[in-house]
Amino acid sequence: MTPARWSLGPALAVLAVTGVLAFGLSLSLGAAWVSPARWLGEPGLERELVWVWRAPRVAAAFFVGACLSLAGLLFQGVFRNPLAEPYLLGSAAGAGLGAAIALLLPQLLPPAWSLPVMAFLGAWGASWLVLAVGRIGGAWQSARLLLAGVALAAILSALRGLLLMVFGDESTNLRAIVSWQLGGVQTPAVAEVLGFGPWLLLLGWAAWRLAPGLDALGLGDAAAQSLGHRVPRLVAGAVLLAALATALAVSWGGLIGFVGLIVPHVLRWWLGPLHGPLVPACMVAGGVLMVLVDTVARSSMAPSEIPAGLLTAVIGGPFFLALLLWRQDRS
Amino acid sequence: MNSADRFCSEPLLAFGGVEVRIGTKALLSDLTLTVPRCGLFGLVGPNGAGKSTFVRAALGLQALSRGEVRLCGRRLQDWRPREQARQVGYVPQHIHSHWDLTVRELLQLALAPPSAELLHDFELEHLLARRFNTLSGGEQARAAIARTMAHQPALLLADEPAAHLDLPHQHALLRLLQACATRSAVVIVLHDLHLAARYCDQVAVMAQGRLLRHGPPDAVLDDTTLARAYEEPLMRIPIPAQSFFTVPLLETPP
Repeated sequence: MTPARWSLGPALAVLAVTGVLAFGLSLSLGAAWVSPARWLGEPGLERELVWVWRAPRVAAAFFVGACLSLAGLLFQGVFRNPLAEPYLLGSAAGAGLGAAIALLLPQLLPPAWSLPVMAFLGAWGASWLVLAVGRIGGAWQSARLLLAGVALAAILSALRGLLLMVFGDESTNLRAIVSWQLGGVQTPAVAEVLGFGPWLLLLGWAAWRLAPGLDALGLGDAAAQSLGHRVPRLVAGAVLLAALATALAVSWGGLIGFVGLIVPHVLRWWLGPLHGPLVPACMVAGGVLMVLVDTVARSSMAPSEIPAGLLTAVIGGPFFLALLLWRQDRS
Repeated sequence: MNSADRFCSEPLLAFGGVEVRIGTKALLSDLTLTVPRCGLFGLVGPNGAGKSTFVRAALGLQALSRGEVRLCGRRLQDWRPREQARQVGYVPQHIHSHWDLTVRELLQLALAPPSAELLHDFELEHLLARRFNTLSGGEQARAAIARTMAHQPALLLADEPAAHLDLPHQHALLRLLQACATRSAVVIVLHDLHLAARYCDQVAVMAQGRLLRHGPPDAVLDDTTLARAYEEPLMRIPIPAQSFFTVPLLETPP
């Protein structure tokens, strides 16, 4: 017998409560502790600090985590491989290269748009390249897909390094680029956060619409086709969405690994493998996780910040290994 | 047992002069064949005969070099995928789920919720909470066919579903498909000629991408046709009141 799985309602309720606590903690913690009574109370400097500076940052962390988790879930669904995630498949490296071009060569595109657009083009191009290599001969080769992703990620990372060497100097804020590569959530303006919200909802809705197709894809291409899904269109749609989510996450959070791998995994154990409930649950859980990670990143060594990408790897890696061992014991 | 009178006259699936080529190799050559609206229709023949290509072509997954496939009189490419899915169910050769689905979750992927009667007929009630990938071959086949039959498609295509089952489970599965074939057309790819002779209402013998013969098994599975299909002399051993076993007449080693 398999352990009883939770349905979406109670799971979302648990995640919502955790999210509220995480948001509260994150708004209070930072270089200086501001108690909830102050940021909820009378207007003042501390209240302004929290709502103008911390709140957009917390929201941005949530968006980055939600996008990374969604991208991981979609890639795992399309590639039918639990190891697939934006990092491993070269998608994040593609976004990273695109973003590095935008940062190093601001004359190419208007600066406000260049970062997300170039990140998206990089993520999308890399995903398609991996997909094309994985499908050579007409049939999916899961191992070949992953190897292609790993190789492409290495090539794109090397290209990014080369660009930094050739074009990077103090005048092109090299330090900021290196810090961005290590992963760290940006502090956006309130208006930017409000503009980002509908995009996130749109992404989630589109992914949720693809969920039955991704479920069917788990039974094989022919079975999915026999259930009425146009497999090439389904794959193209899911890769496009995943690349978009990766690009948005990379634009606002730099290169942050592990979130896209861990969150869908843990939720699959918790809720089961059907994508319908997994899409909203992954987005909320990924967002909440990233809010917590970002809180630790900016408050544990304040006023300095620990790169969030380092934290997710240092904490997420062992946590994931422990979970794997625990599940092995139970089974 | 066979009951040719169960057959309806109007064809459900019709292959007209179908040719499938990959490079210079012909996987199907000038194949013209009709499948009636109900009954168990067996496809037999040696490896590489084109049986699985036939199934893929019937699903619309195989590009045709020539000819056409019609479902209910309409060309396959004129069907919308959703409409076609309502008419045609498919059980693949290797039944496997990439994800750790329970049987209940697998059945949620069906185009209609499975009825209590269906769960009873396929003996799945006690398996609903089990993981699909940990079931025995027979249980997996039952669950996979139940998922496909939940919305009662007009045609079920099953590509060697009995291949990995032991003898009792092979017969149990064929009886189950025979029951499905009272309401739908069931096309099943088989290697076991005994099963084909015993359970199928009609049989098509294929070899090297061509249709050699088709019709009721008693009339079609004769020594000459089988020897031609398998390019080897075969001997049929009759089983009283049932069908026959077929064994190759191997040369005695020197």
